[in-house]
Amino acid sequence: MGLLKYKIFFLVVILLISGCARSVIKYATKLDENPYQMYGKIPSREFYLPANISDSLVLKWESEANGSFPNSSVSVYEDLVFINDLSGRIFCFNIESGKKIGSLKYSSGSVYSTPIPYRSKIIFPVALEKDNLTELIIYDYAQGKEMEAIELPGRVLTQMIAVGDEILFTSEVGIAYRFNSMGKKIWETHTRVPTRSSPAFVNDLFIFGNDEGEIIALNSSSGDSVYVQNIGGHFFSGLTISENVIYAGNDNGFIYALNVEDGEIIWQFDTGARIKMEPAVDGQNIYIGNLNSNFYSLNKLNGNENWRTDFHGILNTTPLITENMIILPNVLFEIHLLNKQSGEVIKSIPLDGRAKLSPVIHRNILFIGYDDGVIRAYEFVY
Amino acid sequence: MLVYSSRITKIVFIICLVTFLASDFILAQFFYFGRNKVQYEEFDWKILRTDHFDIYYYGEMEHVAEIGAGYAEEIYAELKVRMNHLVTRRIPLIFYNTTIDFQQTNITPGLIPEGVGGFFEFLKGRVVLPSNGSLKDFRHVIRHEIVHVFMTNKVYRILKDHRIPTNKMPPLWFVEGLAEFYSTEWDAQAEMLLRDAVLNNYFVSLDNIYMIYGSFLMYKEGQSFLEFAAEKYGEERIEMLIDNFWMYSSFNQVLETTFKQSFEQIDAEWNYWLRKKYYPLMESSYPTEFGSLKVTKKGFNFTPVYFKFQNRHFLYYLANSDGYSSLYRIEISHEYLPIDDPELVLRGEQTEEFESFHLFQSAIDISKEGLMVFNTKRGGSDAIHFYSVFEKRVVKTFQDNELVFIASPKFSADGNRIVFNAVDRKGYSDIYIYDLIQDRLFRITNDYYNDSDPCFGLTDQQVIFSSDRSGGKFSGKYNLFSINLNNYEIEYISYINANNQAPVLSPEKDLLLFTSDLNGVRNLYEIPITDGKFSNTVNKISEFISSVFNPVYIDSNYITFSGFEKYSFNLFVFSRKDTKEDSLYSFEMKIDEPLDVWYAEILELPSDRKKADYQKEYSLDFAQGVVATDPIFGTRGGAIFSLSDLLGDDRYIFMIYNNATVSSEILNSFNVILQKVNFAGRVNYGYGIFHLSGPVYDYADPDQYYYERSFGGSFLLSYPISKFQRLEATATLRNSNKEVIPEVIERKAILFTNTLGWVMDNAVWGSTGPVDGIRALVYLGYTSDIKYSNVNYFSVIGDYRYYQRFALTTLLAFRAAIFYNEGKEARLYYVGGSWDLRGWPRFGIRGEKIWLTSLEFRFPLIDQLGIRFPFFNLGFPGIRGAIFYDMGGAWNDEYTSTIGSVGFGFRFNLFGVLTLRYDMGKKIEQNYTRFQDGLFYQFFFGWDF
Repeated sequence: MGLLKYKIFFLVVILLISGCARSVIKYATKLDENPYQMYGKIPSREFYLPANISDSLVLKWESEANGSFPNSSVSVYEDLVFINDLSGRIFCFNIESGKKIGSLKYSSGSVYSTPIPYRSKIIFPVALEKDNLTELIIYDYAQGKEMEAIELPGRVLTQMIAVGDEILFTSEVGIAYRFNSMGKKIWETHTRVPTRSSPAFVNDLFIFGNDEGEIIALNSSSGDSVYVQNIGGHFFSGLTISENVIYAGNDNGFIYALNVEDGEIIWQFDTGARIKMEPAVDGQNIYIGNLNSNFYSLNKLNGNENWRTDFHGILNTTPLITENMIILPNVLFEIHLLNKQSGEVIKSIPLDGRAKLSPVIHRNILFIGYDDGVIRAYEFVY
Repeated sequence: MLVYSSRITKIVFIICLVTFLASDFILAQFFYFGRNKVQYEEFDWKILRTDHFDIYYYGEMEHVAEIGAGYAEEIYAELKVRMNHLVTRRIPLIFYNTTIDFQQTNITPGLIPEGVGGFFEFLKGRVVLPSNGSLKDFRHVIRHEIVHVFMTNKVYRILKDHRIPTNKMPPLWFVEGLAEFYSTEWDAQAEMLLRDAVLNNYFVSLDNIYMIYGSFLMYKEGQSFLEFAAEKYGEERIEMLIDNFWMYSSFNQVLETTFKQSFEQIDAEWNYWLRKKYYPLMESSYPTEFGSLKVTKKGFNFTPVYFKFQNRHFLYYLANSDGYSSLYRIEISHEYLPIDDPELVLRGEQTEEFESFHLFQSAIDISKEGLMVFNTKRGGSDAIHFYSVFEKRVVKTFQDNELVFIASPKFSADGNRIVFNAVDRKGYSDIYIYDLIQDRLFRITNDYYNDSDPCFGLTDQQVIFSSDRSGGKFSGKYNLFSINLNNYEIEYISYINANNQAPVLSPEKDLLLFTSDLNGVRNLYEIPITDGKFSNTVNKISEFISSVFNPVYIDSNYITFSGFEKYSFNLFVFSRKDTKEDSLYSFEMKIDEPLDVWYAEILELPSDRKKADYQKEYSLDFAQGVVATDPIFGTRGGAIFSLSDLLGDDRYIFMIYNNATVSSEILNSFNVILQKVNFAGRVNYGYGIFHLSGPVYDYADPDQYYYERSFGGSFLLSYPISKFQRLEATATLRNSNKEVIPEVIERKAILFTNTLGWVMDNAVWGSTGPVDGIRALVYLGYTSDIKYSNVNYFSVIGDYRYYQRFALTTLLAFRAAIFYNEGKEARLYYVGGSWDLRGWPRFGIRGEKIWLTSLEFRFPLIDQLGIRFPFFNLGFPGIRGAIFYDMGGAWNDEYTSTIGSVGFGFRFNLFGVLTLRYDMGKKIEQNYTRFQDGLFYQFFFGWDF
């Protein structure tokens, strides 16, 4: 009995210690000249890797976050992999081993945006649970110390953009922000329309869609409005910009190609069902899926359909395009590898939950994530 | 469903009880009344596997199941896009061919009222629903329940994603409102209810919606709110309400965040939206009671028919004004004004013969000769009864087990035949004719269209009916058709974009009267008949704000019908001569174009996914572990769990616990019970084994505390004679070793107990207990020690309770009971306390024999008590009063004394699940000759007897 008491006491102590464990990431990194810094990798978000990949994959490691992931992606800086989750945590793993380096806990909210690593900092917004607010966190992981926690109105439910040492983002109440990495606000612009569409950036234009079907372009230096183009429907998925054309899908199931200079429609294509993912783009085509699991390859120039593949399940997570293949997450517990020329399924990787993260390939490692915060890293075998 | 103890619960409980107590069956305080769920049919279940569903069906309903499978996959595909969510597990969908079969389901233990269209069961995620002959309704219910599946699954997933406890759900008004919003369009029924609620000021805003919790009004208000929200804020916001659900513990805050307005503003705008929509109706339409004479004043009254004899005028009709649906009549004057109170003709819901009149789903008719025809549920299917209004008795009954559900019989002109619609075992609703003279049944239609409300036409070789078989641009709408009985050709009579029902010919056969929801709710319309042909002209003859149902002509100028107004259905008489000018208008139908019918889509499935026989697979219903510590018995641990198959027919209950206080006792101190109960057939049975060991505290005289080890087995049978009566039998064999004083006095016995019982219950309940009807039971038991003869006694229990109602909730309740044990080591009964002999200590009166009687006058005190706090409101409905008188006595060998009490008390139902009772009065002692000094005060809980 006595031994049992000690065991129970020990267990309680362990639980208490782990429950009150310090929320910290402390790790020194070198300067990374080519990080995977943000969702879509670059400010215009192409979701494109100009390289051929193999369809032969080997699981390198698997780790777990706490809550599930939103439709975001990992970011990578040097040998650190960062990921956000919906229970308000940021996790940091070693890129080679998957070993957890540390985590940050903000249990009063959720983190929807992929954390942006910049030098020894990571920047991310925590959408609070009980108040319609966001805390913008700037954390120095070299020091293991939170540098700034800036409270902002409205929840940030979209992806951020890093441009140099500055970040741009929108909040759900329709406010656009630009901050520098020290936490200084450069500008904020109120659009007064709820915004759930992840922005993109090109040519000093910060562009995003909103709930009222508008495409808004702001001058990224001043935050002034450049144009507001009413397209229709609701934009709940983000934008992609390629060669001065904006690609955006709306809740009516249309994919639009818009002139980046004025937002005028160049062409449009009806996919037939709501679109929740960002279009992915390569040199010739764009690729888009909808909630009815129809996946399209369209000609970038005129919107003509190249091919269409129908799946079961739901396609709501942005795929990754490579030179020869498309890596497409499906809510129905799978990641598909498609032939880019025909849309034919080459291979499907089964998962134990709904695919949630947009795939990322960095340093020949494929990162995917699915339900309950499981993150996997695969290596390509050639 | 909460108020009736179900047979399933009862059986499980009795089995456990029998096991625990074995020969102690005669602890009569634990016996149960309760109505029965009767399994009239033994279903041969089959499975049809679609991409996402396992569809369970039986018998001949394969075709309807295949159509239902298509509906299920259709809504699945729709919802995955609409809600951006997938349910990744396979969804069990269990179909029954009619409501009558559906009421026999074992998936839920409770009795299912007729109005329940289907349900989604959370424990195993099962969706259970019947077809009612209408594929449109079938589709609606399938969609409604699958929305529940998606919503609960998505809410669970979202909370889990955010690592928030998954035990919360949105409020019921939203859950049901969303299911309606996603599953159906705003229809005439919804419009009728909301119009009436708004214009008669019983509409409840979101702030107070708890006041209509669980009601049909709540469903429709929820749907109305979401219609409003979709219109004002955009339909995409409806999905966001679920996406944002994790953010707040209060759903009002979720509304505020999603719609970007304060809750008060949202609520006020919805109110304004409704008023703006409905207030103009006061200008263009009129209330039913202003446009016609109101005949009945209270209750829910349906389907009137007119009969005149000896220069007296009567309306016969179905109604529920006291908790039972029954057949009534009311005498009316020459001016058709009521001249007397309604008179009960036949009481329903108390006997198997008239188990249900299917209010609102059927109609009655009366021949010129005074023969009334109506249908009731009788056992496992419906029967048609012929009642002579002169002889005041049922003179003939027709029942065909292939016709499960019957509705709306109508006489031919000569009174020798009736035409009606019925749902058969395939789930098809078709037209039938029954010839009273030849005693023969003829099937007139045979397809999956919902053919209803038939009546004989211009000749007895023509039948007019309503059907959803309309094709073309008004596909699926209920139009009127005629069928020629010589060649079975079906022709359109009406073809409009509305649901037209209840056709009936005028006495001169120059008009066809029917109801139509063309203007949003059901109003009266006529089609003129000239030269034996139905015209293409439709005349609208009423412009009521709310709906009317089942109109019939009294004569060529007067029409009687049932109308919905002020949340009640009443009978009205409408004068065609007084039709308001502004309600009269005519329009022409175009029915000369070629019109086809629509065809149901059937899901194409490979043959290997069809017709698989159901194999029982058991899964966990519940499992619970318990560790208990108390100062007397020390620490004990155990677990109980239950397994059942997907259809709930078989259930295993397993319990294990150990009450050892030192390690050497562990092996001897295991208490194990394993029971199986089966509900699949008409006879329900259970059997099991047990081993019980440990200290026992026994209510004896004086109380005893001893060690007992017993093991054995038990068997139980229950045969429901009807919904209201059943027979029960139990047999238990157990080896019992009892140590009253350790190692000094030991009693060994092998006890065999048999019991036989009869239970009857047709009582209807109010908020604190039964208010009408009878409950009675008789148990006979015999317990003997078949080896040592240490125990040997017989038992008799009789209990009779009668409730005589004076008004809706005012009644006199009477109880007389006797509990009698006689023989060696006979157990004691005990009474006393708030449940029987009030004022006396609880379980304080003990004896091998006990009699008691109670008389109680129950009456309402406060109908509604509301308390408004600054941050929330509390409402307490139904505080009731009682004046009581109890008398009884307990003895062993010689009768001692009669005791009792008189007094009064208050009863109060808390949240519909717990009745609190406070009594005060004076005890009577010394053979009922002396009041004890002072008053007694007793506070306890429990239903009235």
